[in-house]
Amino acid sequence: MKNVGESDQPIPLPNVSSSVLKKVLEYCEHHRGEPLPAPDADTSQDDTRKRTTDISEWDQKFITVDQEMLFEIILAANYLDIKSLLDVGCKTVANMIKGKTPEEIRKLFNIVNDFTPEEEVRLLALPHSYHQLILSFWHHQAQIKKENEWAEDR
Amino acid sequence: MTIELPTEIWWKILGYLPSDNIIRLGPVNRDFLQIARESLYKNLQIKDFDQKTERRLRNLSSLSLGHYVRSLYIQYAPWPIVYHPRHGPAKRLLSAVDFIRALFKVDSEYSKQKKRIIQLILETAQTLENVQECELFHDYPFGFGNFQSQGISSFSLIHATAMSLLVVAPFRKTLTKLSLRLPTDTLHYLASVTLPSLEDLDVLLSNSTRREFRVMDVNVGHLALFILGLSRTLRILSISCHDDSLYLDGDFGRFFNLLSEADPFQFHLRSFSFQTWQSMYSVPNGTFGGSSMSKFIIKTGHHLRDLMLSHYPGFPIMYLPIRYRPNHRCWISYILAPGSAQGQLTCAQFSSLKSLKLSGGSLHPDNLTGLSTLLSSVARQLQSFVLEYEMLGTEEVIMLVRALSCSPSPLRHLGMEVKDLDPYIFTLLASEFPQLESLELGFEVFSYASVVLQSSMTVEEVQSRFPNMPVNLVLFFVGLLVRNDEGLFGGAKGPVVLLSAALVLKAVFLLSSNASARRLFALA
Repeated sequence: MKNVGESDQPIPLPNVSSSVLKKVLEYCEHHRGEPLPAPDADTSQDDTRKRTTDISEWDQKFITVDQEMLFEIILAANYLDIKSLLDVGCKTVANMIKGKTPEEIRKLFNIVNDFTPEEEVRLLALPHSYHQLILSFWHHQAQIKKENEWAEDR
Repeated sequence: MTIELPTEIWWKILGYLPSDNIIRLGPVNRDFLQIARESLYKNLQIKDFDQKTERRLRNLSSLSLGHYVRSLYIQYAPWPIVYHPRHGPAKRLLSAVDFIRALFKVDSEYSKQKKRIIQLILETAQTLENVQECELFHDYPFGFGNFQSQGISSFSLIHATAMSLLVVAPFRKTLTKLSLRLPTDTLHYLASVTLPSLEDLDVLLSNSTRREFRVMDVNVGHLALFILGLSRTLRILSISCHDDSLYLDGDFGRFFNLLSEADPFQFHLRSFSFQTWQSMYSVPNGTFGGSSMSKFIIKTGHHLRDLMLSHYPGFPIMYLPIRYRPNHRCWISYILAPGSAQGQLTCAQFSSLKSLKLSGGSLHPDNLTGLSTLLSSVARQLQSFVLEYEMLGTEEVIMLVRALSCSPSPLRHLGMEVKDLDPYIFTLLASEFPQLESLELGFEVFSYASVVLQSSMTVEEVQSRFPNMPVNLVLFFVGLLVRNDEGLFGGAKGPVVLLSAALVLKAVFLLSSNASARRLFALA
């Protein structure tokens, strides 16, 4: 938008609701004047990319919202091309994913399991398939969880 | 909840998770599975010839996932690679047993497995179509050559396999970046390799695997042929040599001659770097190597943006002051010398040069003149200049700085090693290069440094000399060595080391209290 320059013309934002825009503006106001992140920082897809999910204190407070709002902020940041806000949002979701089972993730984010039953069977049936290992891993984790809960109940 | 995130956002989100975490998320849905697979197979690393690698390669072929692989790294050694972390005493013991077995050519389960994996690598390679980066790392440390005569089972087979990938695999057409670490006696494998899209080549020549085998020019010729075949697409070329049996004057002289006399000459290099170690340090009575290299550099010079020439002399010659080795001139000297066969290097040859790095060895007074002429001709375009040479005296620094100065100066990064951190150097640099963003000054032996640190160069003084303090200021000691009055060096002993370290700390302390030095590093 900076290429457009100042203008009295309204900028249409069909995909961003007013409450979300208010949040986005709050973020921009707080981070005003900070240097823009290096343009090549986000394009590098290799392993050197920082896998850190650290978020600054203010940002953390700012992003403590319900999940619907969080997703809307991410979408708005993506639409308005505000890289740092998009990063904060994505990191927050990444933190939510950490340590959860695939089933828990589906439930949490309302993701549809789009594998056909045949595919699931095939994934399971593959010899030495890493999916098999993964599933057995999660099965094991769930078992441990159940046992722990049982122990706690006692 | 009704909002769904588009796939590209999920890619970004999962990018923040460690790769083993992503892989476990495959069963969520198709998108996640794709992300997990890409994350698992994007960088295919083959380091160990063990069951895990075998399983991974089998999955890759059976699930037809070859198109996910973007970068391929193969590290191979004549023995099981044991030095990456393996936990538990039992496993460590097993590794050691494997190691000994391999040494004595026991036809163990390990070598059978290795042969199976070699076969698998060859089969898998046929399905890799999108590999853009490839690194073949021949792990063959110095001094191992003597073992070779005993024979190491299936070792040469792996090497031949790795090299044949470059000939037979479909990705040779898509490959843009290749790093090779090879012993000099195996260069002949390269002669038949053609890579039509390669832009970036990094070759590291390690020691020959056969000690009795003095590497012949034939082999260097193979390397030259290989590089000539790439000349149309190649933009970045980097050659490093660890093999102390190669000589610049003979082997590399012919090598660069072959390159520079190619007809038609098609190189459009943006970056060229050449590094040598050990005995290539000296070219006592010849200039052939240096001059044939400068012929090559001049021919490619028009497009060259980065030029890096360095040599790291081996012990003990590097510790001898220059007056004890008058005949030992670094090959870089012959490139810089005004009287060289090619004449003086100037801006006319380097119209695009932005970054120049010369390091190692010693600077002959003749070369200093040659270097200043070169610098003054490229001063209007050079953005980065690093000179890691035998310590420069204050007068020499002044001479080089004067050569580099122009108004306005485009120089953003400067690195030098000086004898003495003379406050005047700071004044000079600040006035000549006000736009400097990063400055690295190495300073020598602490006898000089202590004089400086005890002298009156305080923070305020440095600050007053540098109104626009460079963003990065690095001051570092070069080696913890002591020079006595005779000009001889000796290894530093305990207390001396401590003393030097203390001085580093003092220097850091002095400068870190400077508020405008936003970042400060100290390297000891």
